[in-house]
Amino acid sequence: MPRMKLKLDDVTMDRVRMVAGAGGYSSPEEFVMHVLQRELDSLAPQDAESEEEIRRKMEGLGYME
Amino acid sequence: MNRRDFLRMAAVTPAALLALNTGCASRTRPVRRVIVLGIDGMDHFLLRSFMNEGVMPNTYRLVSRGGLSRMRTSNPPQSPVAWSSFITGSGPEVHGIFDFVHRDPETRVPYLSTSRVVEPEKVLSIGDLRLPLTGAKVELLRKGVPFWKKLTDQGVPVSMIKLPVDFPPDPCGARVLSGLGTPDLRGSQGSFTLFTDDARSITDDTSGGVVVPVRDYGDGRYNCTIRGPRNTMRAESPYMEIPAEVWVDRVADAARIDIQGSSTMLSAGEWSRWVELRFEAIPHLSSVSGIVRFYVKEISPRLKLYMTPINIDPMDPALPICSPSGLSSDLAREVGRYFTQGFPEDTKALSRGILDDEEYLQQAWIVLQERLALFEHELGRFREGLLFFYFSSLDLNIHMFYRSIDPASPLHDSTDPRFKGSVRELYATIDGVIGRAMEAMDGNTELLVMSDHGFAPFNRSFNLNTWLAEEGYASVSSPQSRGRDMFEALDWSGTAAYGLGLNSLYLNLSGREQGGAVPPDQAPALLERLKADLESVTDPASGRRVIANAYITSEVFPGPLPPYAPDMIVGYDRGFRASWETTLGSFPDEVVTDNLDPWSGTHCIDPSVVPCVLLSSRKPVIDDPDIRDMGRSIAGLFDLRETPEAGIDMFAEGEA
Amino acid sequence: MRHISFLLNGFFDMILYPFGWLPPIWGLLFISVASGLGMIFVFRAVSDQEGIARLRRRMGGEILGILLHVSSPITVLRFAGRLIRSNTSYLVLLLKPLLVMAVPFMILWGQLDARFSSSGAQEGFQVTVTVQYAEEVPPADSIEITAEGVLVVPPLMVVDTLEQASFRLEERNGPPACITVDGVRAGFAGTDTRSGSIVLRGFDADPSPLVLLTPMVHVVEGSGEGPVSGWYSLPGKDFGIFGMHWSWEAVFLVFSMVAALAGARIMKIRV
Repeated sequence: MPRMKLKLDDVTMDRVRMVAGAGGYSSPEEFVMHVLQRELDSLAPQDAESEEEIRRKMEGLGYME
Repeated sequence: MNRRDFLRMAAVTPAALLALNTGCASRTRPVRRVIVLGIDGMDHFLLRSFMNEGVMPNTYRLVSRGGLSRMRTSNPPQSPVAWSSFITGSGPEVHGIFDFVHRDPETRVPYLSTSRVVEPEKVLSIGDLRLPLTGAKVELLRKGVPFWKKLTDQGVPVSMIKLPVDFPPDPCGARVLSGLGTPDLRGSQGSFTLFTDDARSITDDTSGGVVVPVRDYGDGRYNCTIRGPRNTMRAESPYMEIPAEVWVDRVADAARIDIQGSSTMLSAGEWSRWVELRFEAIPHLSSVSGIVRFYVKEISPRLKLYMTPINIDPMDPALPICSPSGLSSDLAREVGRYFTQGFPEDTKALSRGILDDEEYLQQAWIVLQERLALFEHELGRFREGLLFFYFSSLDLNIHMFYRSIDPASPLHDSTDPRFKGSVRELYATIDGVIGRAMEAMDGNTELLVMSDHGFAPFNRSFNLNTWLAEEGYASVSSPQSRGRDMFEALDWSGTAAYGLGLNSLYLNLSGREQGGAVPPDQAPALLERLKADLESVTDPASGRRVIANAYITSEVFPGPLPPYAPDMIVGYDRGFRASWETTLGSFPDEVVTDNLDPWSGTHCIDPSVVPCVLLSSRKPVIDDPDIRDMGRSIAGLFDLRETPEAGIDMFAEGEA
Repeated sequence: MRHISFLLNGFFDMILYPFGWLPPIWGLLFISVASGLGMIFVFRAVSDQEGIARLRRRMGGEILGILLHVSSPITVLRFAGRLIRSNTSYLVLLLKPLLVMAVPFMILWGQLDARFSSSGAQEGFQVTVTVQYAEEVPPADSIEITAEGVLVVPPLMVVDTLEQASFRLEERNGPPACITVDGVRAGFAGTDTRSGSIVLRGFDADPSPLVLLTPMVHVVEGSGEGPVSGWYSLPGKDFGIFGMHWSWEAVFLVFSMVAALAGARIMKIRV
């Protein structure tokens, strides 16, 4: 797995530790991973279909344009 | 067998009538066989008028011995919703189908409501190759338990042939062949191809199919490429393609289509039989089969060669279209190959002008002939239990030819008078089907003929999203994008509601929609205001009310609803429907416009306007049956310890 | 050659005659099993059974030697070398029976392909026929086509570039059918309704020397001004076994192999 260093200020790091502990995450890293993945999924969905793909599936449905 | 022969065969014999009488006499006696004919789109008003005109003698006899009921349809009265209600005995709150199209609440991206493909979770990549380690699967999105499970659990054989909203099949012990909702091989609902060198036919429009430019370099040969499904076993999933050579002889006005070692010769104006196509994903190791029919529209001066959508080959189905898995091929061996796609009549080709009225009807008649052959086969082997058989022809053809019987249609006068009798002919053919079913009856058989909705004209289009923008419910930030789909023109931060699909309206709800602008606590009041405003919309051209009822979903369906459920169901009044542009989220300039598409009939309106019908050899004891009562009522005809709980048994005295 | 071809066709017709009124899969299964057993008997007759037994024993010993001396690479290499030599000797021993069986096998393959790979014409279906001329195709209106037992469906189209003409025939469920194109008379597919009969898929006036291997091609007398060859575009065929679609090749290979292995085990034939 590739590694990436992330510099956090003390206050943020404390908050990460606190929330990760309270949220039942096994480690602050796991919490950060989760937050990153959630944000990535919403900003750049991995499985998002292209407009062409959406249109293709609807193609031939006489009810719609 | 041609139509005339079929009608002749269908003439009711005295023996069949006697059998019918016997069936009627034993009102409470359980039966051994029940035949249910599902006639999509059979309309109460049209049926009665054709019966009165003497076009439907078999139906008349059935009704005079049993009954004809107006039956309540689903809300909205769309086929996937209504047939799901038939199958599960419940409404959308249980089966989860609210419209042809749902949307992902978070992203607002629309998707077909009935099924979806789940990609394989693990894929092994070797260079360009992608080998799935876990299988991709197709998932039926309809929820709920089919009513016939109670029958099969108690040993009653059940066959559901061309069953709508059951792709992939959820058999529950029955023989099932999927109908409406089954895609073509490319995963669409039907995508035709026109190969042509006629520049006037070549457009960028891709709705319903593609026009592929080809060229004759003087030797009478056209090199055509047939584009199949995507090859998911290769990086980037390129389309799998098959080369075809089309040779033309302009003197003989004939063409020869050479594909994969086989030749098919056709004269201009002829349809081919099914031609097999084999798309190779990995040469010699993995391939998928499809079937197409060709139609040579024109050879001289320009080639116009139409190809049907690539249907899943029933002899070797690439996707699960039946249960048990050998059913589709067994049927194909018996009656020949047949259209497997859920919407087999190519309405889009007619709407696009690729096929004209006559050519479309030829294709629709091929579909119906195949269906009649399947029906004959099923009827011939039916000994015991339940046989459900579905016909799509009335629905799709009346969608296209309502203009021929409705003088108010904007296209009525331009429709060739030759086709004005086509609706009557279709009803007469269905009458023949009913006659054949009556012939097959004995003293232990009941016959039910049902539809899922009726029909109404679609003369005026209502641009729901444009109306929402004009009334301040939606904010258009980029007027130049008004004509583009998927709400490209919208500023979501200023939008309270949006329309998508045929009857669905959604709030842009904060916490549910991404960037939603309506706080949940304001939703109930907003919905009430929208309802009042929508129900008061009138057509500026006639002053007529456009929307009969706007239903707040949470009020009409009890219990918690899934997040993809619409917030409001728009029940259009007779003559109106959601515009073509509304269905996928664009914003034309005018709110109400003429519908100039040959698709001139509709049922995607208020359910009270388009009730369905039930014809039965046994008279129902309740006056207002509901499509959700069908499963329980069918089960009640057998001698069973347990029947489905949902619905009312319309034939049982105690339940009236 | 034509006489041999005639005799071979008659021989296979006779074998498959009892299955003519059953679904074609029965004839194919019978001939697959019979071929498997036949091949194993031929193998026993022409192979050096003693030699095979000796070699198999030796190879068993060499494998055991490798397993026992895993810790000694030199010994392992020595045994491996011997094993390769034994394998080569084994292949040489197999060569003779394989050579003996090669020609009958190819003839059998051609016969089965001619009889089980195509459905033949079906009543009401149109079959596209393409005929090939040696030189320029004559004008369409001067090409004479007549048919017996099938119906010629107009029009006739000409593909000048390929020196071909095409037309269609419609099965009428008549007697064994023939077509005559510009004086060239050829049998037409699929009118013999007995399963396992030859489905002609074309004709050739100048057949290759391997005509015995292609009984689905009707050999016609000199073409004169007529076409030199032709082919009929017929639908393919498969067989439903265990809920799957099997090509005739798959049925033949699997069932003949199973029969051969079973025969070898029962008769204690060493392979």
